[in-house]
This record gives sequence, C-alpha cells and structure tokens, in this order.
Amino acid sequence: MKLSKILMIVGAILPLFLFVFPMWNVTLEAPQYPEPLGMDIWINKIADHNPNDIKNINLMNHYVGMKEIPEHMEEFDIFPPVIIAMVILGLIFGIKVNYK
Amino acid sequence: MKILNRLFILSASVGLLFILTSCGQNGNGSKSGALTSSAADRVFVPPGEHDEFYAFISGGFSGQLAIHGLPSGRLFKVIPVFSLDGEKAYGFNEETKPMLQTSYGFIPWDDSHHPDLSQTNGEIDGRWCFINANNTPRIARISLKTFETEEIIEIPNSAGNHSSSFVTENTEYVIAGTRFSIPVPQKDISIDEYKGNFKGALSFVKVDPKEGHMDIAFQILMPGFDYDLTHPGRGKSHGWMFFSTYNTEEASTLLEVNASQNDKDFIAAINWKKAEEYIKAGKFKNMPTNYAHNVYDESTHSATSTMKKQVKVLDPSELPGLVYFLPTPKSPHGCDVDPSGEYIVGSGKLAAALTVHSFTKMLKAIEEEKFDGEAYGIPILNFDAINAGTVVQPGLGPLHTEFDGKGYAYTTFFISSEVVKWQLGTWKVIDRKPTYYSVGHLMIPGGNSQKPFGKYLVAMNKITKDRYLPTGPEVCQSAQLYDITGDKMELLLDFPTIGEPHYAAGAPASLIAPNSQKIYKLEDNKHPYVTKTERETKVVRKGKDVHIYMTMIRSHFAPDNIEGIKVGDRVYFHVTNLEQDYDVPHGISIIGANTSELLIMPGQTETFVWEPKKVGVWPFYCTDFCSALHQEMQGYIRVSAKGSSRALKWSLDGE
Repeated sequence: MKLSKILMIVGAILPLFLFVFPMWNVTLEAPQYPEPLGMDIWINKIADHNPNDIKNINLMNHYVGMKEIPEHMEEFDIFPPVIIAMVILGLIFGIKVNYK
Repeated sequence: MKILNRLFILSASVGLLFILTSCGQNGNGSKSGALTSSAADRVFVPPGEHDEFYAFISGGFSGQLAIHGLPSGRLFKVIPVFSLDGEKAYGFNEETKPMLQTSYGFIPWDDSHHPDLSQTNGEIDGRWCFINANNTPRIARISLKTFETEEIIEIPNSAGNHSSSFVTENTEYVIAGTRFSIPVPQKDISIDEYKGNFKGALSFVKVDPKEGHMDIAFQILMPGFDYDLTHPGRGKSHGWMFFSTYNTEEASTLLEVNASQNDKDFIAAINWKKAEEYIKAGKFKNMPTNYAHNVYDESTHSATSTMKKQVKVLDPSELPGLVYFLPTPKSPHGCDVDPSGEYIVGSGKLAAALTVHSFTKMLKAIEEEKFDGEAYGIPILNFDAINAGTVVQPGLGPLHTEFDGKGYAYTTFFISSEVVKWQLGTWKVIDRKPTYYSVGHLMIPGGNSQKPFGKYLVAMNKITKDRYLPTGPEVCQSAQLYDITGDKMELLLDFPTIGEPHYAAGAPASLIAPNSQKIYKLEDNKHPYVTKTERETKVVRKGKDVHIYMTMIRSHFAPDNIEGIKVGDRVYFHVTNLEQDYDVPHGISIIGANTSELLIMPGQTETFVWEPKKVGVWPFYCTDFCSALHQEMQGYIRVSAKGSSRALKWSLDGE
C-alpha cells in the first residue's frame, strides 16, 4: 500500500480520539486555589476536571455577573455525528480512491 | 618600639582572656548566639511549608484536644471533645448535644488527659485518636480523617478515669482504669468502711477494627487501690496490661500522708488474653449498671445517645492467673513499657531510683511461683525475682518515661524539673536537661508503640512562671521541644498549649495528612432535615415548632426573608451548606439566640434553635468571612405578636 494511502487512513481515524480524550481543557489558577479549577470540554459534554470544579467556577463567575456554564449545548448533539461522518468519509477516500 | 610591642602583647592577651571568659560563661548554660540561631533554623517551618509531625496534645482542664505541628509548635485546631465549644457549636447545636450525654445527664465540661493513637501490628496507623475524660469517666474516639469527635463511651463503676485511654498493639482494646476506688455498685455506706469495700474497676473497651466503634467488653474489679497509669505490653508482652497503683494502704483521708506509708506499692500486671478465656468460659458476672454510648454519624451529621444497662465483670480473687502484683517502690506514677515489650518502668514518685521490671523474669517468677504473699487473693511477685535493674539517682520525682527506639529511655522529673536520658540494659544516665518548669508528661512521636520516631521529644510542663509575657495571675500553659537525635538532648523551642497539657501523642504527618477530608459530599448527606437545592427550601410549622429548611452558598441564604414567626415559637434553623469547595465553611446566627453560632462545613447540615422573645424584624448573618460578598450574606425574620394570624411566608429575591 502506498504511503499516501496509509497516511490518509490513519489521518481519518485520528479524530476518533475525540471520543476518548477531551478536546479542550480550561484551567483557572489563583493563589487561593493551590489545586486549580479545571473544565474538560469533550465532544459531547463539559466535565469537571476534579469533582465539583464547574460548580465552583460558576460560583466564582457569579461575582462578576457571568452566566452559568451550560450543562448542555446544541454543539454536543451535532459534533459526534459530524466527526463520525468525517471519519467514515476519510476511510472511504483512503481505501477506495486512487490518485493518478 | 619594644614598649609598644609589649603593650600590644599585653592588650592582646587581655583581649584573649576576655574572649575566653565570655566563652566560659556561654558554656555554663546561657545561650550563645550561634546555638540559638541553629535551634531557630531547626524549628522554623517556612511560610507555606508543612510540619514533619502532628502532635495531639491533651487540653487538660479545657476538656479538648489540641493539634500542633512539630517542630514548629504551631497550633492548628482545637478539637472539641468533652467540653462545649461555641466556635464550632459542639454541644450547642442539635446534632452534637447527644455527644455530651451521660448517665448523669448533659455534662458541658470535663478534664481530658491522655491521647493515644490507634495501632496495627504494634505501629501507629493514623486512623483514630482516643482520649479520656477524667472527671466523669468517658473515652472518646476522634477520627483522623475528619478530625472530629465521632464517639464517646461512658465508663461505669469508675471514678477519676485516669489510667486511660491507652491502646493495645492491634487496637483490640482501649483501656480505662479508675484512679479512685468506689463502692461497686454504688451504695450509701460510711467512708470509714473504705478498706475492703471499695473497688477499682479496670475496663477493657473493645474497638471494632473497621468502624472503630467502642463497646465495653469486660471490667476487672480490683482491690480498692488507686490505679494511676497504664501501658500495654507489646511484642513478647502483647496480651498483658500494666497498671501502676498507689494508695495500696487503702486510705480515704489525707492521702498525701496516709497513702505514702508502704515502702512499695504495686504495678498490676493483667493478662487480658486470660481474661478473654475466662469471659469465653462464662466465668463473669453480669452487673446491672447504666452508661451512655454516644455515636456521631458522618452521613446524618448527627449524634445519637443510647443508654447501656449491663457490664461483664471479672473478679481476680477468684480467677487465678488473671492478675499479678509487681512490687514497685513508693507510689509509682508512670508505668511505661519499652518498644521491645521486655521492660516495664515504674516511676516511684517518692523514690530515689527508677525501678525497671523484666517481663521475661516476671513470667519465670510466675512459673516458679516466687510469690511474697498475696493481696485480696492476687499473688504478689518477689521483687528481686522480677527486677531487671535500677536507674540509680536519676533525679527527683520521676513521673513518665518514653523511648526513642534506639535503646534509650527518657524520664521526666517533676521535682528536679528535668528530662533525663538513660540507657536500657546498662541503666546508666546519659544526659539530663532542665525543663521550664516542673515537667509532667513527655512525648516522643510513636511513643506508645513498637516503633517510636526518635527525633523530637516534647516535654509538657506544669508551671511556666516567667517563660512568656505575663498575662495576669493565670499564665500560659506550655510545652518544650527537644532534639534527641544526638547523644545530648538539645532544647529547641518553647510553645504555648491550651489547658494543661497532660499526655500527647505524635505521628509523622505523612501518615495522616493524605487522608484528611476536604469536604462532605452533599449527595451523601442523609441528615433528616437536609436541603440539597435552593428550590427545596421551605418553612414548615408544626404547632409552636417552626422548621426552616435553609441553604447557604456564596453569598446568600435561601430563604433570606421569612415572615409569620410569632413570639413563643421554637424556631429550628436546619441549615445546609451547599458548597462543595475546600475551605468554604459558612456560619450563621441570629440576634438574641440563646445558643452559639453554627459553623457549617461544605456539604454539612446543622441545626440551632431560636426562641424569639420580642416582636420586630430581626437580622441573621453569615459569621465566617466566606467570600468577597460575605458582608451581603444576611437576611431578616419578621416576628409577630403571640396569637397573630400572620401566615408563614418565605422568599429569596422575591421568589
């Protein structure tokens, strides 16, 4: 198999890691938080980095008039099918398509 | 030129002489600058860094337990145990009132003496700390996860619960011995009838290995002596308990004279494995009695008190092999067992020497029946047959001994006000250092175990006089820290303590700190009046009782406006702290409340009762500075006249 094909297939599979690892991590540090507060943003949810972190971030944000971090966003419904579709398309291109 | 030279030499030698003299003065006890600064370095814990050891120091007549760090001596927390504490609402809130229940009713104070730590296989395991109440006999168990008092058991048939609360090698038992003998069971008899009629109960409190719950397994009803202190056997002597006694004269008046008549009193050696056999064989009597057992449940955040009605009693005069008496000179106070379990040190308060008994020799003497008579049917062993050695002229007024695990023992001397280091086996005095002043107990971390951590020694003093800035007639209580890593002990630090520091227990921080709990999980809260969200807050009237289901979170109460309360109501504030973040407690109290504040940890529910006496609108507020908007954390309650028809109404921000 050609190197370009392998690369294409591997590249198509890589986004599946989004179902195993968070895609983004936000860490808030302050002197009185020796253990920083953290949020892990996943493809389908926002999760505590440590237990109760989001609750505590919301309590902090409340001082400066910010809205609570939503438990659910539309993107969480859209992302997973989109990513899966991209992976499938990528695999099809990798396996079937011949470049000349 | 020659003259100048001579003058120079002369002045130089005068200078040298001066230096030599001042060196000599320094050497004679006053502190040199260099020494002081090196001592300072060794106790200095830089800002933000942690101490190497925890020290759990008894609060004495405060009834509490203080936690200090070593080597800094800094005070971290005072755990309320046997006395009310308005700061933490201990004994004031509805949840902890049952903790101070006894067969005498609610008791707001006691005198706490000897903390001791739980052990597994002869080593401290960092799970629980036990401490005794001396006045109204009780034993408390403190969790070293939450650092709260979790359980208190009253000791019946006991008075002056002093030879307590020492823990056996696998925390099989916590031991509670009576200092004062009394009629058992109590009855109305003449005090003159003391001799032969009064008894001393030694209680073996079983500890559940999982939860730590305590239960009196049995009591041994001893002759009417005073049982002063005790330590468990360990290693080879595991299964034995050694109690020092005084007043074997059985005097009931002017004991300072009448209890100092006998040349020798006893150390009572109790074979508790034998006692277990006798219990199994049914050789006990069930004695009706009445004592309180109080348990705090972490999930309901509430304590319950139940009365127990019976205790198993063993009579050593009828049960051979249960108890032997080891003659020990002059009213021994401390009774300490070395880490190997071989040596039992008796500190005769009035003796000029320290007596050390050998466990091996004791067993041999028992086997060969080398008895010098008996007392109330209990064999008295021959002194020479059991004596391991004597520390000759160590000091005046020996009280207590601890061990460093390296073959040395350290004994405190009350009258000569010093700590003396001596060697096990050779019985030679190695070093002595003064204490300031009149030392009582001493503590080496891990002291009552097979594995002491022989780095520091804490001496706990009875008198401080001029050691600190004066504070009127009542001056501070104090402990002193010595470095014992070298041949010579070195005094490093004085530090104040609460109450009168009797005994203490110490442990490496690494054994305890990682388990320290940060919050209580709200989802695990099973308090009957818990409110887990603001939506569930409510106010419910049941006749004259009004229950407020309230929550607190930065930076408001819910509800914070309440109307419809009337003069003559009993208002229960059931307040839940909804926080789930480390170190965010909130407090609450209301004007005119005849009780303390509540100080509520994250995830916890507590209750206080308010009986409004005046019509008006009364504020309540958060008492612990919790956040940037702490001052805004407040609310109002409208109180209407008795018989008013105003309906209950409550809200937060108009909702």
